[in-house]
Amino acid sequence: MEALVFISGLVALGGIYAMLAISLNVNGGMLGLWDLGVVGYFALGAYSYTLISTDAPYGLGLPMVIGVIASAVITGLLSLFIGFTALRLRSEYLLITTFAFAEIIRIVATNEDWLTNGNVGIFGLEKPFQEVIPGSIYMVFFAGLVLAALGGYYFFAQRLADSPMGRYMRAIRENEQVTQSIGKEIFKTKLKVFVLSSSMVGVVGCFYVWYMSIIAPNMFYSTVTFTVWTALVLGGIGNNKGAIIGAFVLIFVQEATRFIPVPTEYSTLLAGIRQLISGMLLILVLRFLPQGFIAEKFKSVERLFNLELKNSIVNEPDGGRRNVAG
Amino acid sequence: MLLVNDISKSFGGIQAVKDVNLEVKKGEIVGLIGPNGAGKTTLFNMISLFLSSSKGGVQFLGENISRETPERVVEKGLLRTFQTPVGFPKLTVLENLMVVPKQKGEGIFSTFLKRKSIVQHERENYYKVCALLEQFNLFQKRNELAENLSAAELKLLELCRQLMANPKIMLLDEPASGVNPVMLDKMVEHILRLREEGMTFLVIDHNLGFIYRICDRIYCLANGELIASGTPEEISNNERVKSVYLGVNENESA
Ligand SMILES: Nc1ncnc2c1ncn2[C@@H]1O[C@H](COP(=O)(O)OP(=O)(O)OP(=O)(O)O)[C@@H](O)[C@H]1O
Ligand SMILES: [Mg+2]
Repeated sequence: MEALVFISGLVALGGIYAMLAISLNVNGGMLGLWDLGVVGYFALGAYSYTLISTDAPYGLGLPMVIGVIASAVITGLLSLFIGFTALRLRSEYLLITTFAFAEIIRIVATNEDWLTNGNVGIFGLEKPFQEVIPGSIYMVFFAGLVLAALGGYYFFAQRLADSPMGRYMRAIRENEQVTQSIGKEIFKTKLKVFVLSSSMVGVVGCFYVWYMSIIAPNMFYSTVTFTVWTALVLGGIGNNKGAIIGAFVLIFVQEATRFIPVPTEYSTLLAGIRQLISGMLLILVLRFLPQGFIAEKFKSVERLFNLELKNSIVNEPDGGRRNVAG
Repeated sequence: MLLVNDISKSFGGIQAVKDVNLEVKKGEIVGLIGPNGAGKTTLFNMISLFLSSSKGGVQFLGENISRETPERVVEKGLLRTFQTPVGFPKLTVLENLMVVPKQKGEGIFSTFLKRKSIVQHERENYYKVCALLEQFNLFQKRNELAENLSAAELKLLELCRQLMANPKIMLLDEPASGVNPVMLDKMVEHILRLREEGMTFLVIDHNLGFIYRICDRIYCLANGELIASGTPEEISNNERVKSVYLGVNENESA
């Protein structure tokens, strides 16, 4: 039983990072935006949820569902503002702006005691269906919940990737100038996708709060952003399945270091080792599998949309379109 | 159709284009030649509004377009190609063209809400693209990634892509560079056929043989200034043009 709960915890954490990686793939992978703000949207979503759904003195005590919706909306609004200022500039500026934004969110959470209880954080947060599920197996249930949500994220992102919108996004990533030269308004599109991706990350923040049952600024260091990017690169940038696999592999490997038997006085050293192992994994994968575990797939549009041509090159009698041999 | 008035551009201290005037009439193929760094591409960038001009303006179909956005200019029917025809390397040939039309599916919500009409739209789009690829002998390569095409095929793909946007005039930046003689003949055929069908062209190229074959009139640019204009015959006998080109050759061999 204990093992099952432990594994469930691992799966839940892996699933949370997998959702983050899929969200990042929407703008970082498919659209090619250099977004270093992941942990910022993550924190903003988590705090928005907590401050709306937790009871007084910290929260408003509204229903959980409203908290989840708020996490998406508030994150979306703030990223709209960031995107509006930074997406017009060169991609390097987006990188710096998003990184700075994430730092500011954490610093605000640390310093505004009246709002967030500062560094101490807010404890004992409620989890969904906590009243119905026995505490001893709650983590098993929660892992299922995370996997279900992950399935939803995957379905959504994959639908987007396979659609004309996905094609258009990849065109922007490949060449902005050429995309502009065929008459597309790329700024609007980038802004929309940026906001979508950030909101997706914001909602994952709720899952993280449920997982931890506490919220504190030290959960939101920039290492989270780098872990998610590493997961995406490991799995294969642009590929949603790859994002999932990359996230699980990375989280499992990182958590496995917990089993290295070391005396407690060396435990800080161990935290460093965890980063070191991620880094080595990344270098090895980039060396031997530069595209990641699963490279971005190129599905033929013909298959996706069931397109077919007649087997002869003829001018149709009605003067209609010319069909060509396949 | 296209009228460029006294247009200038300087980058810091460098005057890349200096008071250039030129005109392209409907149905014409007009050449734009000049040595490396003469300002030809810069002129294209200004006409297509990828660059703002320091001075002067552009009229297209009788309207001043100097204050428009690049997208609006494309909508009006002015399309340009790029000197390096990379296109979208990691998109297939089909996708490179199917991405062009404004489509129903190009939105986050419509992707999920309007599935039926998107499929219908994709089908029409697909037939249109296939017919075009067939005309340009690229149909067999339709599922190849663009990065796997040869330089000449990329130039053709570039032409196809801009054709998908229903242009009235096309500005071609070096369509013949890196194209072998056999493919060059094809390129000439395609351009002449499109002109028969009513297209207008402004073409930059260093291959003077190619330019003389297809153009009705030619402008020659050197150091940002227009130094000559006229028929291919006039240009090929123009002393200033000759000296500019010889000068370049001397520099290059030095
Ligand atoms: N973005 C830019 N910033 C600064 N200088 C530029 C820029 N673009 C072009 N130039 C300069 O303007 C001049 C004209 O360049 P342009 O690319 O228009 O020449 P070109 O006639 O197209 O040459 P080529 O035949 O080599 O393509 C060159 O001296 C170039 O260095
Ligand atoms: Mg040029």
